[in-house]
Amino acid sequence: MAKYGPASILFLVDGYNMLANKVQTLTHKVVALITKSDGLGDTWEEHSPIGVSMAELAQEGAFFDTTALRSHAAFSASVPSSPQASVRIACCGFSGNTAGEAFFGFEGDFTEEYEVVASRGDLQKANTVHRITGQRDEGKIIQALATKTADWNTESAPIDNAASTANGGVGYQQVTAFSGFTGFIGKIRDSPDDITYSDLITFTDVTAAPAAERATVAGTVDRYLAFDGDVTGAGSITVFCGFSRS
Amino acid sequence: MAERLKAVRELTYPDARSLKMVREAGGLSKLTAEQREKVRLVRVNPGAWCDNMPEESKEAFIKKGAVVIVDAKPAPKGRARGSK
Repeated sequence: MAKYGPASILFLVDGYNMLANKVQTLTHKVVALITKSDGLGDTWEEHSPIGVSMAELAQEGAFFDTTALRSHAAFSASVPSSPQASVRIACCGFSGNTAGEAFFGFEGDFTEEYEVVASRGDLQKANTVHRITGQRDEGKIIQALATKTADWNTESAPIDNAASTANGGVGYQQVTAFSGFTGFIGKIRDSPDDITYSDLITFTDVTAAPAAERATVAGTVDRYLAFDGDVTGAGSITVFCGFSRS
Repeated sequence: MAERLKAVRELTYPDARSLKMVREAGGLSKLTAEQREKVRLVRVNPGAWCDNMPEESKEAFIKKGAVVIVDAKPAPKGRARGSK
């Protein structure tokens, strides 16, 4: 059994790296909705799952920080104010920012609460509660959050699933920093034999950070998965990618 | 009838000279850093021919639709497209 400490946390929302705000607590919970199912004649209470699940995500104790790309920028304008508000793309992980380790991605995330806390004798803090809409995807990190300055791929160290799967999957890409380049196209590639690779998911061209995207694919996903980063121009980029097989 | 392979998705695979080394290693990820520097990869864009892709990869890529078999029989000479 492997155990993990605070250094193993990963928390990205819409391309914002929330760990930069010195988060003190990150909570992720999955809840199966249950209904009471006993009736007349029963002598003990009974419960049955109704087949609906929900996910929750909350962070506490981050610094309230008005620096670009920090907590205030990440959350102040993102508490939904209209029914047309866009969902956010969130990813978190508890077992390390390392390729092959587990991560969770969320189909849709609304920042339901953004709370700034001022107290005597302390720096101001920021807390958030996220309301997850839709499914939670559990997958593997394909590209750990890292800074790159030229084209690269991870085909020399792919994620080996031991077998292909038949029901598609979901890819997540988060870009937390971007400078100098005029474009960046990230791809998830798969291979049945570790010899020939083909494009599985091609994310939208990124021209600024923060940026995040969730993309789905149907059909066969081969045994090996790798990430391919194609930059245009000169500069640097910090990017994360994960994939969840369905 | 000449059957050819056409890529539907972008593909990369070792060229014929590199393939032997990759096969012997057991895959791209099994190569040493020194071997990796010597490997030359062929990159095929969607819509381009990929007849020279490794034999062992063909079946899987055809099955999942990343590669299609195309009848590459040339059009009869002297008859323009659409002519009667």
